[in-house]
Amino acid sequence: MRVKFRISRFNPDLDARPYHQDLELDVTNGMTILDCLHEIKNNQDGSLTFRRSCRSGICGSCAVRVNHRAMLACKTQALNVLIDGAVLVEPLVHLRTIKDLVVDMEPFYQTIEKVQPWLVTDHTTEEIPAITSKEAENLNRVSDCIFCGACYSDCNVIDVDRSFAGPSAIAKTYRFACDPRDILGSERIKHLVESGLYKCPVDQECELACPKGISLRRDVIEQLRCTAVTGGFGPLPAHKRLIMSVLDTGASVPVTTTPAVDMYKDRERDFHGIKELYIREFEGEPVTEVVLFFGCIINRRQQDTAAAIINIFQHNRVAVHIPKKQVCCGSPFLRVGMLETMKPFVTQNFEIFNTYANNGVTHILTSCSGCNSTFRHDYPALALEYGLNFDFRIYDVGEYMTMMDRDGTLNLNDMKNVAMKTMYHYPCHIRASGLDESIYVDLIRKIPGIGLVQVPSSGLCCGGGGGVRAAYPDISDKLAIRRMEIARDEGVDGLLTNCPFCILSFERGLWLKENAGEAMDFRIFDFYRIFSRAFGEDGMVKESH
Amino acid sequence: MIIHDLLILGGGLAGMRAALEAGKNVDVAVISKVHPLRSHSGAAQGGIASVLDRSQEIGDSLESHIKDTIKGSDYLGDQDAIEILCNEAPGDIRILDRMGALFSRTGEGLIAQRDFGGHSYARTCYASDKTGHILLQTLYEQMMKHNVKVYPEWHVVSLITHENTCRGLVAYDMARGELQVFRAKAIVFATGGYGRAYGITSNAHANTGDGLALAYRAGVPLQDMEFVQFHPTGLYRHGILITEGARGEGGYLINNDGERFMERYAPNTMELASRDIVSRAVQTEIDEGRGIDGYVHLDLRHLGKELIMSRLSQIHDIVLSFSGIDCTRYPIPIQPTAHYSMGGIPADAYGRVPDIDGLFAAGECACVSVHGANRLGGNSLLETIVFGRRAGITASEYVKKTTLRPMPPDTLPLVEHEINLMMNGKGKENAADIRMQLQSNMILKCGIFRDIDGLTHMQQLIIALKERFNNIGFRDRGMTFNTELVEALELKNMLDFSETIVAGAMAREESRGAHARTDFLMRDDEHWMKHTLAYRGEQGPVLDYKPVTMTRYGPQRRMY
Ligand SMILES: Cc1cc2nc3c(=O)[nH]c(=O)nc-3n(C[C@H](O)[C@H](O)[C@H](O)COP(=O)(O)OP(=O)(O)OC[C@H]3O[C@@H](n4cnc5c(N)ncnc54)[C@H](O)[C@@H]3O)c2cc1C
Ligand code: SF4
Ligand code: SF4
Ligand code: FES
Repeated sequence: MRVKFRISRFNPDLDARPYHQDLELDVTNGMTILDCLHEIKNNQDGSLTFRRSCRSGICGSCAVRVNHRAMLACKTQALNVLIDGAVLVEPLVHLRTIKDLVVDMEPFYQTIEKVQPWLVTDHTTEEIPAITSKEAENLNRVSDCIFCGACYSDCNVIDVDRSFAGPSAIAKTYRFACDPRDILGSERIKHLVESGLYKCPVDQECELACPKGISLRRDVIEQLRCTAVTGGFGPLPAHKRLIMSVLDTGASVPVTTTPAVDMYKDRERDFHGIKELYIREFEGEPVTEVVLFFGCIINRRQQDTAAAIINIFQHNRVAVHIPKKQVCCGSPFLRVGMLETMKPFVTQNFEIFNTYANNGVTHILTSCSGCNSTFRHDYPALALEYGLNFDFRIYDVGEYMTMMDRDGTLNLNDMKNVAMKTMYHYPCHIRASGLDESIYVDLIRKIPGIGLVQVPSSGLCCGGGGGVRAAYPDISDKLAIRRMEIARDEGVDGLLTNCPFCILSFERGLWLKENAGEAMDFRIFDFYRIFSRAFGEDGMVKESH
Repeated sequence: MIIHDLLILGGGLAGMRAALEAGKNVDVAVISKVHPLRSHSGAAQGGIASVLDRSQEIGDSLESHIKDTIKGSDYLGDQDAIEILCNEAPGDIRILDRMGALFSRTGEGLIAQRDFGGHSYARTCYASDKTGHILLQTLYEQMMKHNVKVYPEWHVVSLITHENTCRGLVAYDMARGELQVFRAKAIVFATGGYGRAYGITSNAHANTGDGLALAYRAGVPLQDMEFVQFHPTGLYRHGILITEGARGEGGYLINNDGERFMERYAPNTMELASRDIVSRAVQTEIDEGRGIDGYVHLDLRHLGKELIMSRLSQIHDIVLSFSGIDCTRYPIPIQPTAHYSMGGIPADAYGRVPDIDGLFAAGECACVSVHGANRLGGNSLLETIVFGRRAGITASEYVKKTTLRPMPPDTLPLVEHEINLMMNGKGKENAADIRMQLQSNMILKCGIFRDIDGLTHMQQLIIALKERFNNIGFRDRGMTFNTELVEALELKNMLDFSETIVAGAMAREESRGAHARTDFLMRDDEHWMKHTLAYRGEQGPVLDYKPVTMTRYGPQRRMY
């Protein structure tokens, strides 16, 4: 197949700045991007410059950006990455381009050298203490790193803060800090906390980029945060204040007006010992019944979103149970490494969910992407640990809407026109739940009037996750603003998303810009409120005081 | 001009091990054309052989490791060196362990050992399926710890000697686009293997045998170059290694008739017969028209998806990423792949190169010779560590009692002139095409099977390719990171040392180890139990021979 290659070229001996060169090449099944680059170099343009050696994914030389994402050229099948028959190949970013696709890796290597990446043992004894098979295997997983730099290029925080250690240096720290033979142990953690262990919003861009499948978030960063807490180096003071308030109020954010669970007083009732709101405003039998778990932010700060979700379900004949005693999912504890403290929260939510499940309502829906990923990923393990039943099913509200659409029970017929040009911002928590971007994009495309711009590079973070907003607000703010500016430069009216963290982050960014006298002509659209509008808000449930 | 007491050329396992040892005593620097972490040592998966303390429990002994290695070498290995290799292995493994190398462990926390072809006992230490990667990381960690100076991405262009003493090197600093002269009292060569002379190889693009060509041009003979080990299961077209594990778990080799052809070659051991036997079988099937478009199938499908994903996930990943084939649903196309170079720069058991004072060699580029005509799996990583360390010690001792000798004048201008001539010539020959011609013909004419006709043809072809090489055209005439230049220099090197492979193979009228002459089927100890030495002459290589060192073990028929 004839493929168009657009390749970034730069020869410092000749060019003032990089430019794109367009080439064509016949690509057959089985050819990697590296094969293609070789083919071009051998037969079209011998000056094309790139690094490579092993061509088998082990030497880490050949990382480049393909269609804006970092990956190994030798491990990428060319025909799998075509967009409209074309492919864009560029050098890694965050590192200076030396020539064409070759960058200066030195600053990246230095991030690793800084963490003293070697075993430090007590040399007063001749034999170093042995290590068990399990410990060795555990360290082995992070030792897969081939220092290709893909993660460094795709890392959001590196983009705004070069003093951040960066993903592979963090992995290398883990390698030694968690080695029972190493005597630096806690020194290493202390140093790592100083060089940014808590700067990472755990958006997992690095994992997506990593050709070795190193699970940085769960296996490395969150583990290290736990170790930091045990060692007394974490969480940071700002986190402690946050945690204190969760413990006091049962929620991760202060309440501004009436929480969503306290609206609609006349729908309050008792469901098998649970106090709930039961909302069923339509005529006839419901299509289905679900439990709604709002999550702290929507419950306490984004009540309009809560109302919009209720409206969406009423419009589509879904009866909604809203347990009033829902508490924080506990993710703040997880993110900062305080696993021990979250048990009462988990237990209370489990009791509620299990009661529903035992009485025939097994679908638990969350409107917060963060809670969703906690429920899906962390609760199963915690349930096992705490000996709790797990008889219910967890869905994201948007995901549930898609399922209803597939079953033909989502009424998309007479939707109202919602004219806007926007870009979908794919929240990292949604991705962490294993939910594909296309679920939401396809659904949004069904709203008449919406123009959706293709995301140029989805590796963009709102800065709102991982406890970064609390401890390093300036990093959060820079990320949020950068994300919006990139979208604005694509010519959209605003970003459309379905994560309350992202929305808070962006709104704060807009406010900051305005405050600085640089107001952006840009808006943030809530996925549910847009759908609620499209479904017609005339059926909106009125709050009764 | 840069001056160090000791230069190590190569940042793979052998080079780094030498540097770490020498760095304890003298001023040392490592020069490497790829960053040390990118060296091809990192690709080794299987393991590193060594008898350990508790090996007696399973009946193993140093003696047994020595015997296996001698037998494996088809009696061409030097037995004194082999004894050192095996005897010093346990100590070296302990040092690696103490450095923090993450060896896989047994339930009791001891270093685990696995079975490996040609070894009588399970004595191969490993770090899951990435032993080379882990060792490379570990040595580089130590390099950082001890602050050993590295010149990464400096491509060494020539070795400067005078009156048979070593004076220094000229290297191309790729990022800065400059040629630089290095002076040193001694140099250790550790430039790795030369698999890239072959079109299908498990070796990296960087494995172009530069060190061999540099030494050869400086008057050092190359030893036993005709012995090139092929691995039976390289991924079709790519040559990437599909490890023995796939057959170990029960994979079948199938030809175009759907036949499990190993039945005809090794009815007892079938797919698990030794490497050279399986390689020859696969090649025979392909040559006699029972292949599929130049390959045969390695079929794993009957093992079931579950087993493949749990036990062979690495292989599944390799085949999918590099060929786009899902091996749970389709058979894997494979062909033999050039894998290991037994020959190289002659060095004694202390790493000394006899012909040039102050020159040392270790690792795959050296021929000590512990592998003789055929290397056993797990022994080459071991060689890099044991002889890298030994060369480091000897070289630093040498340096301490030597003064820096002067560099011949005009060294730099001469090299610059040569490179300018090459880059700015008016020729139109395509270097990539010349390289492709060399590589594909080396496979055909000087690969697994050889005969006088093919070798003669190859000999003439190399002469013709060298002629063409003198007229190559350049697109990139700048000096910053000029990979077109680097590739041309590498090609020149391959053309130079390839003629020694061919010459050695033509002369050696017997079949021994990895050298299989279809016109001389038997091993001939009476005439050929000797090492080949190929010197550079006006009209191509001039051959000489030297005896094999035997200590206690006479030759026997090699049977498994
Ligand atoms: C796929 C594969 C699997 C293997 N598996 C095993 C195994 O399981 N067990 C085992 O024992 N052996 C195995 N081997 C063999 C073993 O890995 C090698 O023999 C060994 O690692 C070679 O190490 P080295 O240090 O000599 O060379 P390398 O690691 O290849 O290093 C060569 C160094 O020389 C430098 N260099 C070369 N030319 C120049 C120049 N012109 N200028 C500057 N620098 C230069 C390079 O940059 C590099 O740093 C395997 C080999 C392959 C290919
Ligand atoms: S999760 Fe994101 S911010 Fe954190 S290290 Fe990975 S890429 Fe960087
Ligand atoms: S962590 Fe993964 S992506 Fe990052 S340098 Fe290591 S191998 Fe590359
Ligand atoms: S060439 Fe080595 S990782 Fe791609």
